[in-house]
Amino acid sequence: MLLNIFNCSPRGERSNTRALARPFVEGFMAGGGEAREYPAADPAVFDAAVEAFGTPSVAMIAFPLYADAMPAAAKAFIEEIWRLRGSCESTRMLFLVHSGFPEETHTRVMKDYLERLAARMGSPCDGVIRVGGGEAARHANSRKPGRTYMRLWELGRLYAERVVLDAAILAKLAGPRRLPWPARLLAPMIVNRLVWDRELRRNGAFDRRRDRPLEAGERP
Amino acid sequence: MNVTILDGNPDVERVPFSFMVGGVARALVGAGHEVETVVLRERVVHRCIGCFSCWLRTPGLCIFDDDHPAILRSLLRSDAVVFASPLVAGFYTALLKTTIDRVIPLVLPYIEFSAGECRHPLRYGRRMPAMALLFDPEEGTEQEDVAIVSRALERFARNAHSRLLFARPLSDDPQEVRHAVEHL
Repeated sequence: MLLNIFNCSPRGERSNTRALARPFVEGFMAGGGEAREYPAADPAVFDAAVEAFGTPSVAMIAFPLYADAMPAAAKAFIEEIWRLRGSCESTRMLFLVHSGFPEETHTRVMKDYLERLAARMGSPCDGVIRVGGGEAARHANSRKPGRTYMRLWELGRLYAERVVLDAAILAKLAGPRRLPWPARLLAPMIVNRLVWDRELRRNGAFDRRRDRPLEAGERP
Repeated sequence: MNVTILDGNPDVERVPFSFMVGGVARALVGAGHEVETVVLRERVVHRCIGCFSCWLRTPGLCIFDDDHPAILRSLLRSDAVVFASPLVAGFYTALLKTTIDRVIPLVLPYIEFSAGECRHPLRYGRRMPAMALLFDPEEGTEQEDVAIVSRALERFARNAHSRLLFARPLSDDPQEVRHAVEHL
């Protein structure tokens, strides 16, 4: 079985999308599958990616949430493959959507949209993998795979064997509906101070972090 | 009331679309509102590349020197923003999405909790404009598709400290649309 991964993250090779797709692909290959990756947000690869989508395969469209939906590059890719609707019944569709925020509520609408998209395309849909809290995935230590990595790997392996996504693993990856109270209290302190403030200081931008450069201006 | 209309139709030959957007704009102006219509296909707006420079290097400013900051200024002055777009593959266009993706300079990188969920605080401290969607359905559009794209915009509005006023077909009576926008 051939798995084509269409990475629609504008960050391309440095993306969290790629970091999250990788363990799934590795598990899929360990289960006997074959995989190819297309950085579909790259204009140089775009046409080849659209062509590959139309070939008999499993097509995994993967992207992060930008402003609570697919990034413009992913939407452009979807608009292109939309032209192939009705002629892709041999392309099974699969999706990977991730959000920086941990709650699964942020990715829920995209799940409904993507399932509906596949139905309207006339392609079988094998499901939507949702990952909550995926912002730091690209910084994860590949020598010490964490829970998300292991779950994605196992999901990929099982998918290669059964052509079905394991529902229990999917639910764990999607994240909680709400974080528990202690986490709600701690998360802002940890993330805001130890991640964002530290990065702002490193860039010499900490004192300007709340600047409002567009405050006064003229209409376009 | 200040209203910004973002015309996300990429097809210059889709004349009825522009005509209908113009009808809504005229209805609003006729009622005494100030309206700015931004035809996005005539503007240069680069896609967000997710570099976070607008948060972490030049706070509030994107690395791209294009037409988008002017659009953001217009949003900051508006009471309502109307997204006008054809539906393509059951969603608003990539052209409109390009502009929406670039709103992140209007929020801070920090996280806060609202109704038990994470979101980003506003950079400019004031409420974002209320949002509305005027869509032109494509062949095969069903109520389910409209519900999904509406929910997607509701979620965006919620995380932008705003709300979705309505999602209506662009073919609706412009005076009814005007009335709905006035229901802020």
